[in-house]
Amino acid sequence: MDECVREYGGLVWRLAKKHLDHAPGEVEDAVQDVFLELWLSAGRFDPSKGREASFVATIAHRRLIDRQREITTRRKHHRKAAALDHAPRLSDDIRGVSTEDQVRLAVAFNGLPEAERDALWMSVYRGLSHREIGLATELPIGTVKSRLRRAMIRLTEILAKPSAGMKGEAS
Amino acid sequence: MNETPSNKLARLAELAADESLGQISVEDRAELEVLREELGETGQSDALGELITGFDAANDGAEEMPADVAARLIARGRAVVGASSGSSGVPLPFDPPRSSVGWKAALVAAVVVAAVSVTVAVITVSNRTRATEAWNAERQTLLAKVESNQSLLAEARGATEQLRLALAEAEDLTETQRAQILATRERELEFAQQLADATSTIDALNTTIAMYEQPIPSEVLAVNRQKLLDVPNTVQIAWAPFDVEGGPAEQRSVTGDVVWNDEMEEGYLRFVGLEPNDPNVEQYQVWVVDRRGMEQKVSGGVFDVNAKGEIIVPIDPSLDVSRVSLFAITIEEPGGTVVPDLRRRVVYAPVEG
Repeated sequence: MDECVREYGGLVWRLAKKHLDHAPGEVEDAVQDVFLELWLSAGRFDPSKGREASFVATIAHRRLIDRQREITTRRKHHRKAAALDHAPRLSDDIRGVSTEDQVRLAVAFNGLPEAERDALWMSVYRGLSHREIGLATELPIGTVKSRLRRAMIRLTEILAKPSAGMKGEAS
Repeated sequence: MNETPSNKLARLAELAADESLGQISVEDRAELEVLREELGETGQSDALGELITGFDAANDGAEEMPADVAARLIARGRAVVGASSGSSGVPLPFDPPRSSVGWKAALVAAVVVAAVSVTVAVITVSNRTRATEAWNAERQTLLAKVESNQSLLAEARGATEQLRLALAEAEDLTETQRAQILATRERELEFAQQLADATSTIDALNTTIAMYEQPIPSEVLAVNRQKLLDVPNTVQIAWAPFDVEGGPAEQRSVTGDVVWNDEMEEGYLRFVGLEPNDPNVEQYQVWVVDRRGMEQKVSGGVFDVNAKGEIIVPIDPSLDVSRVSLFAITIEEPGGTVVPDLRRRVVYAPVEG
């Protein structure tokens, strides 16, 4: 339990702060929610399907989106209109120990059209909704949604291809 | 719609993408489940998690979780999840030295406290039960909301369908008609989203309720008790027979201790040699008195012993007490009592004052 917090506390904390930048009072509670679910669902983690960090990030993202919806719908607390935010390029050599999946994903991501990269960044890391991304990019919600879909499908396909040897295993 | 397998695969990929982005409507989720069943493919991948960790590394990897947040997180994790996820043996992110108790001083103080504890009054309903009741009430409210959302959604769909039928005969759509279709469609989506939100909140509540309603296995309690001992300012006090002037305690060979942490309001009672009770006739009742005075005392709930040996009873973590001065155990009628006469005393443990 302690090790889990030491290892992933920073990641979950940073994600929660991004997703809940409009409700800082909710961050700690949300982080507790995420870890509770992690501890209760640790048995579902299957190392053959991905890295542990990635499993943690996925659960954190889902929980934080739930939390945001709850804040918006129940407490009528909306986020202020977000400004357009450009995505960073992903490093294909993360801290010197990237797995083959990480490298493939980074290369594929960096190769996406800029608009799709930005949409993904705002959606999955900053936790903006389709509507908020639409406002920030001055695009209809439908366009935002199809961009995100297209980009996500592309990345999913890249990772679904059979791998050919690992470049280095992150532990 | 022309549904060839490749069309279906493409649709599966679309819906799976929406799902992993956390942006999927109730209808789409249902469609996704059908496609998964039919095609035997999940469309799931690790792309989302990899992407997020990639962004995290590319962005500001520097800010760590503050130490106090981490400490509270671990404390809560232990209280709720306990040892089921295993112990790593890694030092806690806070100071580990243990406090000690001046046994003699504590016992002297105890005699004074015990003498006045005859006036102890109690609240018998445990806070835990009250919390579960509150959650159940919330669940009922949400279920009602889901039902009303479902009918609103059906209504909105009906309106859209009527418009579609009416417009199927018209050759060209006017701007107003287009706007009407869009508006009803928008409402439909909005209701569907609300429905999804309410449903997922219910799921979360159900999980929480199930977690609290389950009895905690004794091995988990034993490990949690041990872990609490490692937390700073946790005290450990041995039970003593609850004798008062002119009357010995009903059971005199009970041993064991209380492990309690004031800040965390968490604790465990360990007993060796308590006589088994028949819950239909009598139950053991826990009393907690705090240092603000005799008016501030509460029942820690009732418990049963079904076999002689070692048992561990968790103290309700949501008890509203500040700084405990005394724990005591009596035997009362089933369900506990509001005003005990302390006729059937068993053991007590004074906390150093």
